[in-house]
Amino acid sequence: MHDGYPLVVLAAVVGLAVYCGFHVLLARLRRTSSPYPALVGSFIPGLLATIGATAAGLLAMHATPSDWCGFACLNLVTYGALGWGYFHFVNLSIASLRIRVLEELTEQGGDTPTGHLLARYNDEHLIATRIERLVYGGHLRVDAGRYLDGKPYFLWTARLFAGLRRLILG
Amino acid sequence: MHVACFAFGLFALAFLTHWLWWRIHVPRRQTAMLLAIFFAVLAVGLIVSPRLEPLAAWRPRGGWQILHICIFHIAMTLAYVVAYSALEERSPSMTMLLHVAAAKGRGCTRDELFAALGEMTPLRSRLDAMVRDHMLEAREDGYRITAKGIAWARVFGSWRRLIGLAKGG
Repeated sequence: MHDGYPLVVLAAVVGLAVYCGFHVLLARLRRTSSPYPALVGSFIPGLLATIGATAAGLLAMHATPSDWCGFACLNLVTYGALGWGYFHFVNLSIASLRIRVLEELTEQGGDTPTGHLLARYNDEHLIATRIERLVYGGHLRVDAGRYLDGKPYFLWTARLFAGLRRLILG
Repeated sequence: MHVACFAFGLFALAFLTHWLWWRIHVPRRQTAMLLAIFFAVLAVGLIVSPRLEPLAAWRPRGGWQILHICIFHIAMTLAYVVAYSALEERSPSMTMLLHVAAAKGRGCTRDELFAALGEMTPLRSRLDAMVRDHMLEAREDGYRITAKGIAWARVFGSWRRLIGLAKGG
């Protein structure tokens, strides 16, 4: 291994830093009705930074073709995993009921009666909010009072998770 | 190439250990146990591999290669734990999408979507999970947030404010 290897090792972390930095900048500069375009779009600069840092390191190492293949694969998967983690970290801030309850409890001094929580976040209201979000995001269409398939991406994710659930939990 | 093979192999071994464990018995605190298994396999793999002759061609050599493997393994573990939270508890949104897709173009009414969720109680199940994970303390008349819960609220709240978002949920 030669001098470029530390850069190869840290390439995915550099990519994550670029992803987070771009996302914060974009989210603050371009306030849109949906927070997701900035979150998804910022993944690309981070990916390019990961590829660039990996390539620069491998060139400095005079790496063999098999090392190019192995390290590029390792770093792209690592960046994908870090990016997935960051996406969900932000998504929890946007959509997680748990985080909302924790934040409100903190603001209220730490205690709350069960009745207050049940009244504020009743299940019917929560489910109605989720239906509205699915329609707003284009994942469901409404036609003559019936909900129909919309964009397929989230449905593929749901199918993937249903398959994983069967595999792991039986 | 050997670093990549070792890293992928070690993660696959951790996943296999978790899968077998879950087939025998699903632990009560699933996320904590997942983290314990994946990090234990990483530590044991790095400690044991220099002593195993059959792994001579594949094991990491030097601190940078060990760090590379650790970054990959930690990133994959955290990504899997994030994904696992959606397996542990059925998501109402995903359940509704699958129900609409199963209707094959006929679609569903709002009442049918509510019926598809059946006995699902999003708030109650999340409160129970937060008590189990020591973020909330259940009391006779309600709930009290713990120091761990406050820390989580602060981390997410700070980042949410940094990117200029309103409260979610």
